[in-house]
Amino acid sequence: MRLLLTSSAKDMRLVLRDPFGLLLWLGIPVMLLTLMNLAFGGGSTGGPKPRGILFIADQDGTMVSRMLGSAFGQGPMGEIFTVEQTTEQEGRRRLAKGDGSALVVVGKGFQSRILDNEPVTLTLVTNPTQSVLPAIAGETLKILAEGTHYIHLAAGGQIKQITGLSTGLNQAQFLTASLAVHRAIAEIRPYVDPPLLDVEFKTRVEEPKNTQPFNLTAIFFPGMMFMSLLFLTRGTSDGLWEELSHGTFQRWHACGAPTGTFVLARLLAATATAAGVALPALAASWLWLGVQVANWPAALGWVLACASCWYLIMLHLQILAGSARRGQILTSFVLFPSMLTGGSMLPFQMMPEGIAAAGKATPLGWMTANFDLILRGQATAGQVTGWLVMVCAASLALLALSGVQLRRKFLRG
Amino acid sequence: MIEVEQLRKAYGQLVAVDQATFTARPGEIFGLLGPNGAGKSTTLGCICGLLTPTSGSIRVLGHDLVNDGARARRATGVAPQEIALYEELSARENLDYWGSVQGLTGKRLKQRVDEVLAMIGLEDRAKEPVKKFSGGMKRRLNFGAAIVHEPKVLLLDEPTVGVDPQSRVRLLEMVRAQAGAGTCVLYTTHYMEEAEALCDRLAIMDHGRLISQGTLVELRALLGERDLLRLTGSFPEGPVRAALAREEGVEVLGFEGGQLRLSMAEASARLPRLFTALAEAGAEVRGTTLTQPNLESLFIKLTGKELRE
Repeated sequence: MRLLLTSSAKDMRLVLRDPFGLLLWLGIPVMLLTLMNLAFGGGSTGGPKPRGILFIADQDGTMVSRMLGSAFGQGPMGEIFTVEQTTEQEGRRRLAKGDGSALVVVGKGFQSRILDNEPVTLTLVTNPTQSVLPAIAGETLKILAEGTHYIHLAAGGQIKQITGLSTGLNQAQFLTASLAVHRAIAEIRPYVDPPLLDVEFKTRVEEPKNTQPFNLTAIFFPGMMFMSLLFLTRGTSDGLWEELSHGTFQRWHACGAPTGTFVLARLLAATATAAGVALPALAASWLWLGVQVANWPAALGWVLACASCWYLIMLHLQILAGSARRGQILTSFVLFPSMLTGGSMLPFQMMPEGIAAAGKATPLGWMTANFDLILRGQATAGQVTGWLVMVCAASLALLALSGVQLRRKFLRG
Repeated sequence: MIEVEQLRKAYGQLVAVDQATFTARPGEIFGLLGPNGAGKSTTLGCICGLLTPTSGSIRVLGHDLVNDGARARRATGVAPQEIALYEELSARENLDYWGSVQGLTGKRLKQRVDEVLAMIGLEDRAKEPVKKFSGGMKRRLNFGAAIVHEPKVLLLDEPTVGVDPQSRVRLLEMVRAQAGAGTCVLYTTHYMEEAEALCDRLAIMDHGRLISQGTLVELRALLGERDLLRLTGSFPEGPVRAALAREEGVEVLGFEGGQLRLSMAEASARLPRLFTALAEAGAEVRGTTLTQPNLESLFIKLTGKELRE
């Protein structure tokens, strides 16, 4: 134990003597998240939200078409989109310049077709250089179209009556019409597609306090954390080559010290370094970037267990490679595809469903997805324990294997 | 005490050490002398447990290296040819670390680190990182890390390579001091003068084989009182060999290209007659080097080539 602690302390000292490397590892998640936060104009409490301009080319100019257009500027949509009324030509021109996120074209005759129950086409032109905001606009438009259809079914008569008036509504007429529309919707509500209608009602009235605010940083955070850990574990596993080229590993062995202790000491130092990076990153993201941390011990425990496992994976690859240069190549072969599919470069929430499912099946994806669940408080204690047991078992196997291979490959030739 | 018997280390077809047998005793500096690639470091690697012998046996302080390797290694101090230190750590931190790895703790560790720092002359620079040290200082610290735990057996693999003359003298003094304290020192080198000045007994290695061993006196006796004469110029081999065969007591050690190596007693007195004989045989002598009997001449006599070739 004394030998283990002595050796581990020496490795930690070596890490601390290279403050630039340490800052780099610490900086990766914090820097990326801060950039993300700044890019999307984030705040401290609600978290950063994407914002964009939505152009509406209302060629119909009727009450129903105006209702559709104004829906984008209200509630949560109002926080995401700034709605600008424009012509179709101007809208397309500005989209081509990259000024906005999407253009909704409401064609002539929109209201009369709706009220006459005839098919209607809405045109959505999106900005190809953006992915998130146009997708939100598209989804919202689909919901609005469905909603318009149901309102027509429920209160088409009343709307028709209002729109048929040549002059504006007086207060009594407005009240009568509103009550009629409301009553009609309430009566028909149990028989039409409830989820679609519920979306509108629940979001606005029933559960505003329990709903997590939209926070892009929180979506990116688990992947960023693991990206940083991967770089860190690869960097610390590189230290093996210094030990071998300087002959300090050979000297260790010549002193009669066990190889297993050598590997374990390096693992402890790497895990301690990971803790030194993960804890501040987690705290900073929680304090300033609005990332939710539902269970601190579980989150930190999980990160450290995964970091240990990744260190041993990287070390094992370095040993298999047999030289520093080949080690760099081999670890890169694992590192970058893992990050690409495992949710580090693009969160699973933003991936197509099939790719996200495949990504979550990779070791890194599985770890990242579980970390996300732990952060959001959606993992039970039993689940977390089970995952930890699995990771620790894999680490133990890798530890034993690395010790044996290190001896076989670099000693007793 | 180190006992090596019939040691053989082969890498496939390449035999790095072939049937080496020698014994190094407590309080003695035993030198392994030979050119680069002779098998000295491989022999040392086998003794300190970094390499597994193909066959043969090695005992260190009575512990068999195969069956009881860890105990044997714990009683051994090794200064490898590389500077096996942590460059980012200070001299004191390095000695602290290697002392701990060798089992020293607490006051004893601190005391030994202080002693070794004084011994290697690095007390003033103890807190500086090793990367700021000169080559000679690093070599001294490398040696210090090998002796911090006061080993009974000390293995030194070319410890003076690339150091300045001052550091070399200091290192050699420290090695003598270790042997004087009863430590068994195995010392590999390709510096002839160093081996002559330092070692109590020597083994000469070439191509993995021990070609001769003994004390310096014993080895010199192999040469007799014969000088080594090296001539450069052009030498038609047939006539020259015939002319030299007629000269009594002249031994041809080497005959290649423009170089002729001869061994004979009282060479300086016989030079005029020798030159006449060579000229009559059609040879043209351009340079002459006369060497008194020493390890170098022995090495040339034994291997037919110079140590630094």
